Amino acid sequence: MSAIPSTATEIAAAVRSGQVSALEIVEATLARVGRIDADINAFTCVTEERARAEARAVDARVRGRSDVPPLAGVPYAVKNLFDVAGLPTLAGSRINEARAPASCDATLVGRFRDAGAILIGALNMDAYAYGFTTENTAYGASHNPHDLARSAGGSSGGSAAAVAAGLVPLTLGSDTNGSIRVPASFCGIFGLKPTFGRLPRAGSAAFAASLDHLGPFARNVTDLATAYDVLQGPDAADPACAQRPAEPTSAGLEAGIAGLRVARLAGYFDRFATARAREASRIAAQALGASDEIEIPDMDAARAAAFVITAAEGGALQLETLRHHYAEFEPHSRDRFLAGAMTPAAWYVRAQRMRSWFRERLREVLGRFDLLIAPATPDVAPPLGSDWLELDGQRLPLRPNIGLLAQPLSFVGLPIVAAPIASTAALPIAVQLVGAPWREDICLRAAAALERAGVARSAMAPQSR
Amino acid sequence: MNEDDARAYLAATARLQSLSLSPEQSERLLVVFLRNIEVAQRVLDFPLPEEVEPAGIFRP
Repeated sequence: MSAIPSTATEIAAAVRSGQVSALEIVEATLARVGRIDADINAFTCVTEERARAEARAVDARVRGRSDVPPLAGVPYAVKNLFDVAGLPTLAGSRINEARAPASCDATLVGRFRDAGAILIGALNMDAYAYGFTTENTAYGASHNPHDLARSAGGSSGGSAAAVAAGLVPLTLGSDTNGSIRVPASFCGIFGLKPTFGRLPRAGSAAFAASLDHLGPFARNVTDLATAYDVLQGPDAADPACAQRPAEPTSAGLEAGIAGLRVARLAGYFDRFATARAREASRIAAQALGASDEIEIPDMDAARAAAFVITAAEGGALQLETLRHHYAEFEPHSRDRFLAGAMTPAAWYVRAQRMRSWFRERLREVLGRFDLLIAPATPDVAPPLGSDWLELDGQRLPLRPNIGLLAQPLSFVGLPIVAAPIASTAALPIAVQLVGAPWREDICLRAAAALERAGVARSAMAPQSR
Repeated sequence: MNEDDARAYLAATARLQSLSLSPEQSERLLVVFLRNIEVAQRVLDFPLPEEVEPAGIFRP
């Protein structure tokens, strides 16, 4: 057996050419997970039997020279709020272990399966997705592969940690207020939160349905774009999914940034960022030829409205569970959910109206610029167990505020790539590359340009060596 | 809303929602809810034009 390739693109090419079998890839992956995940705690379930069966099926297609799909043999894993046939969908909660197993895969899991990818397992997350640190009382914290004493971010912490540690090249996560972008930043990998409604959510547990997005993680832009292209397309099972045909992005990654109008977001996005985070956004802005630094007024109000919607919808959804299972509910979030369930309706309606208003304001800005840049997180990954965020003299409660820079932008459903900025520092940090609705292609092109220039890079975590 | 009003509001809302909370649970809830009020104040104070659509649009 020759050396196992590490990127999704390389794996698919090697499997397709017969250089390595999908089963060899799976065995190497399972061995690696068994060796490394005890330190990372990314996985809550490893689907060994399914992985081997899927690998054998892919190998049969390769041998039979029948149409070999684009992700043939590529191992992946999914946040455990995705339905996986035969498993109870945990959404990070031990209470859900008693649920009946999912009867079928989530739509996006099915699309990866149909593309020949191999499911390795389900990944750890903050319970019910209400968190930014993946400190899960029932299943343990997921550890940052760059520093095991630090958070992997959340709520898709397991998804980010698994990629950053080199366990699998692709994972799926979700993002309501930053839950793809925050862990991508803390773990130093690429993540994509697409336009709201772009990817179908059928077969995934909701957190706040008005704001939930699903998306992929990868260690490089080509893999990210390939994964995204496979996942796209309307879904009759999800009425919230846009009825848009797939708009592939991979072929356009080399198009570069010529002609793009780029601006760095200052004001609010500097005020709630440490020097390190601000510097990352300046580096990206310079590399992408940003012509302007702009301030968008009232981003704090946008964030507040996203907060209210999240609290109200999340709380309402979990009310029944809180009523009957309060003692077993995740202590880090149960009072936040409960308080959310008490939100006056007038607050919630006003917050939704603000969403419409801010959508128009951002539309105006994105009429003048094709791409906006901001830090993804206020700072690098905090130590596990931290309660406070220190921001240039401000002391804020950590858990609700890690998403300060992410929330105002996902609030209006814009497509965003989180791109880690290359650095000699031990801990990574990413920037947000923000496009107009449905222009994931521009965000990915910009990320690819940064990657080619060596400005964006997913650094190898010590755990992945 | 001051702390006493918030406490009374939560107690009444919990009863309406058939939630039975211990004194300790109620106090923890109050701490979180007071933080939520602080954040929500920005929403309540925001000068939203009247012509902004009054509710989300449902398309059957």
